[in-house]
Amino acid sequence: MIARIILWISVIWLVPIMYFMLKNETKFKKNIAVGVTLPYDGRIDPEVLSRLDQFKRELRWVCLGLLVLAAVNIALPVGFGASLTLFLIWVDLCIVLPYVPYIQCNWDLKQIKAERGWKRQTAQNVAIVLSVAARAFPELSLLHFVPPSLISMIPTVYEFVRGEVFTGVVLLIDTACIALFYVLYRWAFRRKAEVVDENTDLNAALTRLRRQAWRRCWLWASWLMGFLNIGVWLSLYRGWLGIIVLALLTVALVAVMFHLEFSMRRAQERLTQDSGRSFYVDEDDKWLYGIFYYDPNDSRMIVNARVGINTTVNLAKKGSWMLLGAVAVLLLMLPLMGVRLMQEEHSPVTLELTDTALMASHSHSAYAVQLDEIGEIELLAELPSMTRTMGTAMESVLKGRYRSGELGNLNACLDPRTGPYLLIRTVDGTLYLFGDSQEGKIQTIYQKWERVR
Amino acid sequence: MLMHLDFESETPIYQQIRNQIVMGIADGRLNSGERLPTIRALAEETGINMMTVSKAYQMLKQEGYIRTDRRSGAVVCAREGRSEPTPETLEGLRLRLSELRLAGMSRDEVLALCARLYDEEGRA
Repeated sequence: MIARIILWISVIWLVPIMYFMLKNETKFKKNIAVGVTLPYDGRIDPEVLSRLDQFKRELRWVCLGLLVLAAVNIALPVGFGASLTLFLIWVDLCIVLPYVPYIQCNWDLKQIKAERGWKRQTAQNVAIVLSVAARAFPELSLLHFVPPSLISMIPTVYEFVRGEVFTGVVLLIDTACIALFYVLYRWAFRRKAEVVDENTDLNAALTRLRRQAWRRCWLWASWLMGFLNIGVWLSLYRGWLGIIVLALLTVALVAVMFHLEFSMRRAQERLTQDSGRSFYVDEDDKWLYGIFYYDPNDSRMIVNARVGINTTVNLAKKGSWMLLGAVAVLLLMLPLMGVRLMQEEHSPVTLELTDTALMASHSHSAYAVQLDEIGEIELLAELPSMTRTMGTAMESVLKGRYRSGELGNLNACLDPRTGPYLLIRTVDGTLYLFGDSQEGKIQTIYQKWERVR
Repeated sequence: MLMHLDFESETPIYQQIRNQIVMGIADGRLNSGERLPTIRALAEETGINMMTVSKAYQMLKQEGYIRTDRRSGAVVCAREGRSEPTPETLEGLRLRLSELRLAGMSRDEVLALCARLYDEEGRA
């Protein structure tokens, strides 16, 4: 039950994030509300305001429904695998359902816009401000990303020095992520300048803000990634302390990104509060349902989202379809992961002693130790205290690579509910900890081994 | 200066870029010495091919409206003194005048229209 509550706590905030992000779309930023560009008159049009209010109400009900669904799922008396499957379906619903009232509102606002004759440009037009495009904005150098990289490398270096090459390589992934952040920052920095209307100063200010937000986004994320590696490292030696550090860093990361996104939206709203009175840029025809960008005349695959600091893809490019398809498949596959875990959860751990090897298996995994490689076998009544380095840890199975304070690194495949366990030390010093889901089977195998030896 | 490109227009994109920069210089929205975006930056901003932007800049450079150097990219040039219209300009002007005559406009109406447009360009 506690594992399930932790699982839900880790994602329940998806609902308020979706709610506040989409509710914020009703505020006019860059003359856009709910993905529709409207002139200044549109902001005081009673029909527009009424439709925006209706959207907020619908969104509130959808989000409340999702929270109720979450509460029901927590209380359902099902196993962890089934709970995870429901939980992952719920995550998919959280991403999709709030967009249903959004798309309906976008559609209705476009109808009002057409009726009022507010449509300005066609999908075949593009507007740019020459002076803003020509302006050089300050950029971060590679040196800014070096300190967080060094922090993230502390545990990696420590593990390599200790000879723990595998752990060191796993921890190196974090440093690679920081390098990736730098590449993404450089690449994202060249994105299109903002164009709202003919006011060059306004366009320059909006462009500067977006680029400043990008700088902060990647640099702050790099620092948090640096400390994240310390958290991962701590979790290997001081389990709970590591988990607390990781949880705090995750909360900090989400808070920082939320702060960046919303401060950017507030600035866009404030700066463009008087825009749209005469000329304004209208690219609605390029934004399907206000969400998906489609412009065959645009050679870029990645473009800026219309409000906030995000980016999106140009669906007129084949690569975008592949990227979007991969994300869609991943989201649809999420519930299947729960089904797979259910299968794992209900598969027993079995241990067999053959003429040549001692073999522990669970589901599709198998761990075999050749008999002539075995140095000694010890029967442990209690499971030693250990933390997972890489593998599976469920109520019914522990398998993969683990680290124990008293024994060091070991490979495990056992059912923690049924002891005793066999601790196998090979002639080259490798440790294996095996068990079996069937009561009494381990004692039988141990006796058989004693006779064989 | 705000530049608009129309992908549905029969005028090629490089010509639209060239025309709008010339008009921007003429009406004072682009000043002498003002930096223009680099070829790469303008291509990224508009989402068009770099070759298209390069072609427009090449035309502007040949006509003396911009100069390019490695350090500051493309810069708007002041065309000192009076210069005679090029044969291409005269050809274009003749064509437009013929169109207006065929549209039924008198000499005085055409001259008045030209004077108004000339003044409007100067005021912008």
